[in-house]
Amino acid sequence: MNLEFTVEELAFQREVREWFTENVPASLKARSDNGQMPDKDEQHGWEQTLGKKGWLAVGWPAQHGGPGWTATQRYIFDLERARAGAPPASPFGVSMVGPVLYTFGSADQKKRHLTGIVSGDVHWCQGYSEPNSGSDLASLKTAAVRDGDHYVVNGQKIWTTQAHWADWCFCLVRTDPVVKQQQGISFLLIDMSTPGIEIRPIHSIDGHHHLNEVYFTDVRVPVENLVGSEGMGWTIAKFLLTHERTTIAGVADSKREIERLKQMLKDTKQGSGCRWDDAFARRRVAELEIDLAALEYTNFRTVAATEEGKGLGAESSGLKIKGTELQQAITQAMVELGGHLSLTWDNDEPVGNFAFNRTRERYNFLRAATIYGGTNEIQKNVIAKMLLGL
Amino acid sequence: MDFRLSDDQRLLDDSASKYLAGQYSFDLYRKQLSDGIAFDSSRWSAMAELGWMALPFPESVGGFGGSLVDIQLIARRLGERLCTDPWLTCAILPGKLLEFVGTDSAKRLLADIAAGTARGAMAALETNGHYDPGLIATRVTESGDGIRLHGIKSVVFGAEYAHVLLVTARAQNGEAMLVAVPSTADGLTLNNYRVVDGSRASEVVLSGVRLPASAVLARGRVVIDAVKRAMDVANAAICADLLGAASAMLKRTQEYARTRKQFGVTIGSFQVIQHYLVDMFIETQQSESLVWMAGILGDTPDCADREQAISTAKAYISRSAVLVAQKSVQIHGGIGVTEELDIGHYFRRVTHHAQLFGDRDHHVQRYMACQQRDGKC
Ligand SMILES: Cc1cc2nc3c(=O)[nH]c(=O)nc-3n(C[C@H](O)[C@H](O)[C@H](O)COP(=O)(O)OP(=O)(O)OC[C@H]3O[C@@H](n4cnc5c(N)ncnc54)[C@H](O)[C@@H]3O)c2cc1C
Repeated sequence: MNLEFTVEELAFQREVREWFTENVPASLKARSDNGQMPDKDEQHGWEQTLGKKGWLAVGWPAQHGGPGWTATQRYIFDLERARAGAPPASPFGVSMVGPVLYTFGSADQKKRHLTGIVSGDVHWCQGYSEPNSGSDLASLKTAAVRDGDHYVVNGQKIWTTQAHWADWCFCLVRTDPVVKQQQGISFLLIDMSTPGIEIRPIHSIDGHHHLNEVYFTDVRVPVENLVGSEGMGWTIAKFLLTHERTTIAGVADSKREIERLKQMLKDTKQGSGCRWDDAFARRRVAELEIDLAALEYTNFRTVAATEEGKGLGAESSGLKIKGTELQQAITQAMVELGGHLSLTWDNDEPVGNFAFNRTRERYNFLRAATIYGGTNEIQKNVIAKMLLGL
Repeated sequence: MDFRLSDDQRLLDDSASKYLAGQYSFDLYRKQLSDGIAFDSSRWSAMAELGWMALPFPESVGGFGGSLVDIQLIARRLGERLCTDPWLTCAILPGKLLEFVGTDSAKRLLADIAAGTARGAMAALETNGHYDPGLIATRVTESGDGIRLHGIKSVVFGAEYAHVLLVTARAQNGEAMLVAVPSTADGLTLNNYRVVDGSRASEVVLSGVRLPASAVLARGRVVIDAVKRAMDVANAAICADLLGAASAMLKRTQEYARTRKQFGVTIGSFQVIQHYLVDMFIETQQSESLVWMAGILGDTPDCADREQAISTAKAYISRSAVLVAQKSVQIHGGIGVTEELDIGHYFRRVTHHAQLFGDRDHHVQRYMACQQRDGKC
């Protein structure tokens, strides 16, 4: 056993750190220093900057435009990315549809779509969930009916993150209403500018617009946008669930958020001292760090296993559960330790430490962390079944 | 032991419940939220008509001599209905502060508040003070027949709806003072903003506000003691409000679990969801017990008994209500994290109230301090 990075890995870490220091825009850093998410232009601009450097699709094999890094390098990269105050890349292109396309896509599909994802020029969203098909995704109803060279799509998706920012949507649609649920599902790429698509915003409890309802009315999608064959949608969706999960625990961002919390406590005066003098506050932070250590080393062990070529199975569910619980605990501590400073909602001028004034954004938004990507209850069902044989 | 409400209390509770059901709604709450207001003068008058402003104040100032439990009965209904009207922050809290300092000038002001004709706001806390009303940087200088105030009071709830701000400040010699600052005073600026539960608060900036010496309502130790005691009254009400909000969330979430279907069955048929709901139910039961405990044992001038009772309740209920709120969102899934459904708004109210005038950590610390002082103050 050896818990240290190699000399090469340390050199890589220095290189990455330097690059981030020089390239993360000040506006982006200022936002993340206050716990706020970037807007569309900032997010896309940043992804293009990474794309130019060849560091956007970091999990991809070299032949498809990735840097060809080891899992440990990707892990280091993510740590340094978060440390520098840069947001994670939007997952829909680089972590989801990209790997699907280079694994299952046709030569034409690869040619058409991969470069735009690697460069950060083309943006994607994920059209899986429907009003009555959330946890029970396989019951989805959005229909794609073959009509000559096209599929005609009718139905409704919901919770579609960033649909209003996206050029393309990868969708699960029902191409066969008769066979067993899972077998009638297909994976379709839909150009968001196609006539018949209507996007309606949903505002979430952080007060922002990330989510949407997407309505499809007689949307004509060329058959060449079908990935794999008809009925393969479920297999592809399951492939994605176990693919590239080394960052699912969110260790890098949680680490950074705990550091940020400490700094916020030190920067906030209380009487003649500061909030960090409060032993209860320091205890809260210590407990978060201890939980982070457990998660981080579990994540290391998992990363090490993927290096040895072992695929990541249901273990990723454990990382997701603990990772999201920790994210929520950190944001809750942030809100609570700020006292009344955390209660302000729309003040432009700082009330004391402005970073505390904005803690409720992440706290509110990250209530969704135990819901999206498969709820934590569903993740536990997976572990019970796959790992414990229950 | 008797936990039954008196006939008068049942009447009060019923009328509060009926009034809010008729005059307040989620749609109205949302409209006010988007308009950036948390006050309605006709509702204020109606509440005064119902006696809610006079309720807990002594008869000598026109009040009804009601108890802390009476306050809690109304607060619980406000929480249950998601009502952001500043009844607590513009009537009860400033009124109690005036009652507790007890000087003649304070009583005259209190009479107007109890009558519903004036609204106040307590401006006691500052950005560098966390929850401690003793940490005051605002200065008062006395000269001849007048005073001047310099400083910033922070997150003053309800300030923009108040006619008079009750400002704490320190004199050159360190003595605390309570000063009545009319909202129209020169040199007074309010920077208003929305807070997490959808109500409003302000930074109160005092730039050399000049007032007659008669504006000083009280001075000395009584000022901080009265602020603490008024905050304890507020916390008893906040606990009841949290109970109301948590009960409403539990009810809605139960209903949702009974109707939302996934995998061909209601999600309430999954045992994990059942156990969540059972935990939430038990938590609200225990919270209710401590709400009434705080209402009865906290209704005393004896600061040791009072602080222990209030901090016990607030420490427990703030954790418990937050847990109910978080689980309610989780059981709702995606729809729980949106602004479209009331669940998300209850979630924000609970977040807000759980740390209004002290979160769990603060009240556990105060409980520990009570123990260390061995029952003395
Ligand atoms: C912020 C956010 C972003 C999202 N982004 C996207 C996106 O970009 N694209 C997309 O397609 N979807 C997205 N989703 C949707 C997300 O995947 C679903 O919300 C999730 O799968 C849960 O579905 P649901 O909301 O319908 O809840 P439901 O499935 O109705 O679940 C309600 C509750 O029941 C529980 N439950 C359900 N089944 C079981 C069971 N068998 N055993 C025990 N408990 C159970 C759940 O855990 C939950 O607590 C997003 C959601 C959120 C909140």
